[in-house]
This record gives sequence, C-alpha cells and structure tokens, in this order.
Amino acid sequence: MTARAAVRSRVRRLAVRGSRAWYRLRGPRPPGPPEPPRVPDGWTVGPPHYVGVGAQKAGTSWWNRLIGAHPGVVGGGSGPKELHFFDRAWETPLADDDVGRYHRYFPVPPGKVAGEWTPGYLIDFWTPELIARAAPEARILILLRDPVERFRSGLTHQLATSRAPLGPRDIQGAFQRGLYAPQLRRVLAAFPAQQVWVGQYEACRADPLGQVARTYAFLGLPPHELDPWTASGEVNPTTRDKYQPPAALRAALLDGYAPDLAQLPELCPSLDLSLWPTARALGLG
Amino acid sequence: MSARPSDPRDQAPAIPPGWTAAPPDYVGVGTARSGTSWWDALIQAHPRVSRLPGTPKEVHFFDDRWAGSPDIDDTAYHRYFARPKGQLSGEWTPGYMLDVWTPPLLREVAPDARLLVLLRDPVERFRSGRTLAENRFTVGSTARAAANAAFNRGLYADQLLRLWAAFPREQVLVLQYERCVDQTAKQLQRTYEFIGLDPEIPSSVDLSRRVNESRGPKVSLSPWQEGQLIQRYAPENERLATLVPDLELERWKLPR
Repeated sequence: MTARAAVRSRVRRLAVRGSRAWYRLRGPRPPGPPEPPRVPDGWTVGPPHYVGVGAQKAGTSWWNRLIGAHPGVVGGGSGPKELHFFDRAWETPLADDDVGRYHRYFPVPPGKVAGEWTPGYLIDFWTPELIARAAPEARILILLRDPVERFRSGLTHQLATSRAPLGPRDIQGAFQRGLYAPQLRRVLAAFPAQQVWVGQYEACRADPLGQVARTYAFLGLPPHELDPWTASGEVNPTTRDKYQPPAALRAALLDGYAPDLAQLPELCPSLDLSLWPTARALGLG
Repeated sequence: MSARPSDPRDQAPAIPPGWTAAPPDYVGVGTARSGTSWWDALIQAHPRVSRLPGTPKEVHFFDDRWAGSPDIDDTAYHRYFARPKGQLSGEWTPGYMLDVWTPPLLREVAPDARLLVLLRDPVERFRSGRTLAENRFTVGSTARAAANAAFNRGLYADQLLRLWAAFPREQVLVLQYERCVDQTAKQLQRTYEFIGLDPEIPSSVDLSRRVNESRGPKVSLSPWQEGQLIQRYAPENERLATLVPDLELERWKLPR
C-alpha cells in the first residue's frame, strides 16, 4: 500500500468509526426509504436497471460502489445504496402507485442506468416477488459469503453499533440469515435464472478486477478499467476485534449449515463451494 | 438484547422425598403454535407419567446456553425430571428444534431421550402465532423482523435435518397436528408407544379435552398475505415431504 493509500484508508476507517458512534447515540433509522431525489432537466425516471438483494455482510457496499464507478452508471456510488423500499410491504401491500414511486428513485440522463442494493431484500420472504412486479426487467445481484464468516461479521457489526450484549435471538437471527437456500429459491421463483447474478465475496476479494468485469458484463455495461486501488478498497472495514463464536457454538453452526450448503450446488451451479472454509470442512467444497 | 434474568438452574423445583432426578424420557422439541400444549397434556394424563410440581411444560433450559457447553451440567437438567420410581417424565419446549445450538446440547445431557416433533400447516402456524409477542426478543422488534421470524419457524425441513444431525432418526417421532386432530386416539397410541408406554389409552385420559386452544387474537391475514405464505412455503413443504414420507401434505394449504 502506498503512503497516500494508507492515509486514505485510515481516514476512511476513522469516518466509519465516527458514523457508528453517531448511530449508537441516535439509534436505528426509521424503516422505509428517504424522499425520492429531484429529477434534473433532461433526465427520466423508470425502473432500476439493477437491484442488489443480498446478502448482508458479504461486501455489498463495496461492490455497489464499484458498479457506481462505471461511467455508464448514475451516481458514482454516491446515491443511497439501500432504499429499503419494500421493508413495510408485508404489513402494507404494494399499491400500483407505489411502483411509480419506486421508479422515481432512479432518475437517469440519456444513455445511463441506475440501481440500488438493499441486502435485506433477500431475507424478506415477500420481497423478491414485489421487485419482479416493480422492476420485472431488473438484473438481480446477490453476493454470498461463507455462512460462518457472514455470521461472525454480522455479530461483529452488531456489537459495534449496539450497546446491548448478544442474546439468543441475536445468535439465531444471525444464523438464519446464512441459510441461503430458501432465500435463493424465492429469488429464483420470481426471476429467470439468467437474470440473476450470484457472486461470492471470496472470489471478489481474490480477484476484484476480474469479478467486476463479469459484473459489468452481466449488467450489459461496456468494459471499463478500474484502477486497482478503487477496486480493492473496503467500504465498511471492521473497526473492532472480530466476534469469535465459542467452540461449541462454532461446531453447532458447522452442523447447522450443512443441510443448507448441500442444497446450493443444485440451486446455483455457478457457486464454487470450495471457496468457503465451512463447506470445505464439511466435505462439500 | 439481554439474557433471561435468572439462570434456569436456580429455578429447578425442589425434589420431594422418594422422587429421584433422572434424564427425561421424552423431550418435545417442536414446534410453536402447533398444538404442543394439548399433546403434552395428553401424555401427562397417562397414569405412568409424572411431572415434578413446579416443572413447567416448557423448561427452556437451553435458551441462554448458546455460548456453549462448559456450564452444561447433566444433573441441573435432570432435576426437572425427578419422578417416583417406575414413572416416566419429560418436557416440551417448542423452540428447541429451531435454535441451532440446542440439539447438540440436548444430546449431551439427554442422549437417550425420545424426541417429539409436532408439525402443523406452516400457514396456519403463522396465522396462529402471536407474532410480535412470540418474537419480542427479536432484534428491533419491528413488524418486519417479527414477520420474518414467524415465517422462518415454518421452514421445517432444515430444522429437522439439524435435529437428525444430533440424534438418530429413529429416536425422533414426527407427528402432524392435523392428523392428531382427526385421529387423536391412533396418533396418541403411536406417541405412547414411542416414548415407552403401553400403547393402550387408559380410560382416565380424556381425548376430548383441549388445552391452550385459540387463546388470544390470531394474526389476521389478508388474501394476498395468505397467498404469499402458501406460495413461499410450497417448495419447503415438498422438501419436508421427502424427509417424512408419512406426512400427508394434502392436509396443508397448497398452491392451486
């Protein structure tokens, strides 16, 4: 890392730490999307070109920024990444004018595209079908990560942003988010498989430039060369020690994820389970 | 989110003279809002089954023990199942099957227990759930989190596979609530036999008595919500049917 990159990285970490301290004081933000942006003259609104739907703690902020770094994509990654548009749709079903309201979040000038990435969409069992209603042509992006690593990262994040100690519901909730098979089944019930890109955080970490080129191609964007520093920069770096599950819980997680991991190759043949230590430990990789 | 206020080990009731602590003969492990209080009461009604006064139907022994086994003490759990000589004893905590850390811990302290799972149409289970109250420990306690937690409780196939990873399959009896309602005597005989009792139902057992039936308001589902649940559960139910061949899926709501 060059000296300049090191300074930038340090500044980024401090900014993240500051925003997390602010989050702890302020509490979680209210559910639901912010006001739609103003539409500049000559721009048009319409359904998003892409919608990222998951998974939490799998590098989605980073990947969404790399998509935004493409000159054909609006926002340069600076717009709101997570709209949470469908968060309340279970209690308050989506109305027809909600579809138009969703489109207002994606103003584009001629020749450019826009999208969003809300990692919670994958968990919400009602959401994939609603996305298909509001944006039937959207390309769907999913980043997955070794489920035990995702579990650890999720609880690390929670400990960094909350004052409360971990309890059983936190543990079970974090475990449940890593059960990918039912979540993928819901997305694949709503969208044809060729409209869904399932990437792996580990592959992106190992080869960001190669994977981002694939992502651009999937989105129908012309090739674009990123500078390597932009490609490798962490967006949500860990600012504290990573949560380590006790040994007995780690063993229970391993057994607990086994039936789910066993379903993934059939659901999503492009996944390379050998990238995941948990799958390798179970003899599935 | 904080742990439960007191350690369940401190709550184990006192053992009367002549009763002795022992591992449970049966442990019901699933699933919430599926008639488990009713079925447990029918087991308890058998004259050869005893429950220590003060031991609840749901002991929740493992709820806060996700951090692991060092403090797992056989005798602490066994105290709940003290019984007079010759009697059987057990409990039924419907969340045991769901919590990922619980089946391996249960195996440590009760390796020979016969396990009971009562499953109900997950759409009806969802409707019957006091979703917000039932999930009041869920992070955030939002309607969204409660709906997801209630939905996930109805994903039975993976829960069963996790249970089977800790216990041999022949040690687990999977019952279907709808058949228990329709064929109470037959399914109860199966249950008695499975936990080591004579299958014949003693005349003292009242098969018509219901326990904990539709107390409190049900979750009202709009036609759209019910349709969503039916659709989303369909592939998961089909997986379940391949694992439990005698499950009569046609008794559950299926997509048209």
